[in-house]
Amino acid sequence: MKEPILELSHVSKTFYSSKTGEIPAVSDVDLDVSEGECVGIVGESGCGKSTIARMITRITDVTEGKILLEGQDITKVEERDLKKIYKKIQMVFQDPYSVFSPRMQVGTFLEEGLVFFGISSRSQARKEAETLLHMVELSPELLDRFPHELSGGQLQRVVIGRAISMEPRLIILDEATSALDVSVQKQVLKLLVKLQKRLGLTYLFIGHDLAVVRSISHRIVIMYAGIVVEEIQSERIEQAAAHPYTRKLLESVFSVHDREKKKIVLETLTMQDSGYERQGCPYQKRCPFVYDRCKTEKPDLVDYGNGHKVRCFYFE
Amino acid sequence: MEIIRADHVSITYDGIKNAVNDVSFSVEKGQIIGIVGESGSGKSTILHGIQGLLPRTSARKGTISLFGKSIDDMSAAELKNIRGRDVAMIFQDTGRYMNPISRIGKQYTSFLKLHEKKSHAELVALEKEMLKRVHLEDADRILHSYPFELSGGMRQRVGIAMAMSLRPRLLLADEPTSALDVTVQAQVIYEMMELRKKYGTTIIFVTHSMGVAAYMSDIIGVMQSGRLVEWGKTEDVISSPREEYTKSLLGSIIELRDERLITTI
Ligand SMILES: Nc1ncnc2c1ncn2[C@@H]1O[C@H](COP(=O)(O)OP(=O)(O)OP(=O)(O)O)[C@@H](O)[C@H]1O
Ligand SMILES: Nc1ncnc2c1ncn2[C@@H]1O[C@H](COP(=O)(O)OP(=O)(O)OP(=O)(O)O)[C@@H](O)[C@H]1O
Ligand SMILES: [Mg+2]
Ligand SMILES: [Mg+2]
Repeated sequence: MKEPILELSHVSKTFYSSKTGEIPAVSDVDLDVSEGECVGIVGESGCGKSTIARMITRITDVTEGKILLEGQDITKVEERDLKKIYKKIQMVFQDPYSVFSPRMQVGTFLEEGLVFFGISSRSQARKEAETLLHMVELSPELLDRFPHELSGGQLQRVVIGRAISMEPRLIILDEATSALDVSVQKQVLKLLVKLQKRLGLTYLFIGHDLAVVRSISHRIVIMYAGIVVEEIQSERIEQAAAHPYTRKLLESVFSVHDREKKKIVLETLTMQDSGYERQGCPYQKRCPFVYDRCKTEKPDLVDYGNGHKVRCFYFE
Repeated sequence: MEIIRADHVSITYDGIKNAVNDVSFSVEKGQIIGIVGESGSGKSTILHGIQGLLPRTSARKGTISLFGKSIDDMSAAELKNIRGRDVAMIFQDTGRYMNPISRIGKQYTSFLKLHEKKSHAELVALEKEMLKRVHLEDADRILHSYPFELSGGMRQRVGIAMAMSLRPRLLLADEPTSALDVTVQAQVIYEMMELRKKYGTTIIFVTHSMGVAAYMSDIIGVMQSGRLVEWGKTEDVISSPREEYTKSLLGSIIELRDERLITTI
């Protein structure tokens, strides 16, 4: 087993809202990613995936816990030493507009990073930028455009190109291919896999499309309400996934091959101030199998071997 | 009744020719149209064009008619009045269209006030009910938040809730579920279908998910480099596509049963 390049231990993040008080966005998450591995994260919208990504890249501080990058706890790194971390970790943000300055042309955006991190000289940077665009299936014409002059998927690819160009060890991809058509998406995913094999890159791949996440990941972590509810080898997800939430995810996928129109089973929504239960299992309100115990006790993440961990009394 | 008619519509941006290139189609009341296709092929541009919302740097040729009247014959006031009320839009990147320094609730209420003569309390009740429908159960907190305090998918759902609030006659949705997990996506799709069932709403939506397009639409349109290359009944487009491009799209879908890319490359 390779050494983990990234290790999260007991990481939590609580936000505060003047209206509803504490928002436990991420609670006690353990996660390790080995060198050359791709770990996928899926989970409900709002369950804390981007918050995890933002803590790893030090955009948000952790409330509790440690984040080790090659053994060094980056939550303690001083502001002035952050540049070293940024060179090792790159992030492709869920919202690509947020990383662009609206007045910066695509060419400048790409060249600036290359020069700042000393990856290429100013005179060479333009050529490099063209090559990068080519890698993500974009035409060099885009170099002179401003971000608002690009389509959603074009912008997303520019950001992926920039992340790759920084020669990082770890890339965090947050919904990085969600705005791409299936054909371009497949090309970009193939590029990521090739780079991973060639350069030993490590990825944390956050996504909603289970089939896509499975296709590119070695392992998948499933989150719900800020906690990890299951962890499984990606090839086994369809057959062996056990948590009721993971099963629900698998059932909810729309496929072009479903001949019959799938009936959408709506879940009874509960109107209450907090969306999630604070006592017991967070999934109890939506779970078809609740025991009494689920309402009072929080289940542990139990290791069933083969890299399969499940947090559920029903499965125990 | 014909809700939209596009006749030889071409749209260019400053220096960029053929963002949309000679596109014609017609949509009847109550139809659901799914648009799929290449990234950068002009899907968002068309939706903006239908609303008369293109930036000043763009130019359009050809005519677009809404509810039987060319949008060129509508006054600015007339267009503004149907926008939001009769024609609602869900944007691809909702966050960009929100005011970053104003709370969600305030933005939501001032949008509703443009079109609804109801008391403040009634509007807030409507907001909460709509948020609940898109699985934002924690409505109080959402309304009290600034956009940056919500996750990407939560912001997207706020945009969906707003667009559906006034029961529009025409809903234009640009990748409405791209930031949503599949269970929430299913719920949002259900709500959109209900809108048509109850109020006969016509829907045009853009998606990259071929599964969602197949599930929701009566008609699928396929775009490539500014052109509408295929337009037909959903079953036909999915099971016997005419165009090479459509075939290649269908062939690129990654499914749960496929061999994984990490093992095949
Ligand atoms: N700056 C902030 N202030 C307050 N709350 C926040 C802030 N950022 C995130 N949150 C809250 O933390 C929770 C997790 O958000 P996060 O963006 O991590 O979700 P996510 O899993 O990435 O969701 P999505 O799939 O929709 O992108 C949400 O309830 C969100 O409202
Ligand atoms: N404001 C603008 N100024 C200049 N060019 C633009 C502008 N908006 C879009 N474009 C260009 O017009 C073409 C069509 O863009 P559009 O956003 O309509 O594509 P799309 O089909 O929605 O793509 P995606 O699936 O990636 O969102 C693209 O080549 C894009 O770069
Ligand atoms: Mg997110
Ligand atoms: Mg678009």
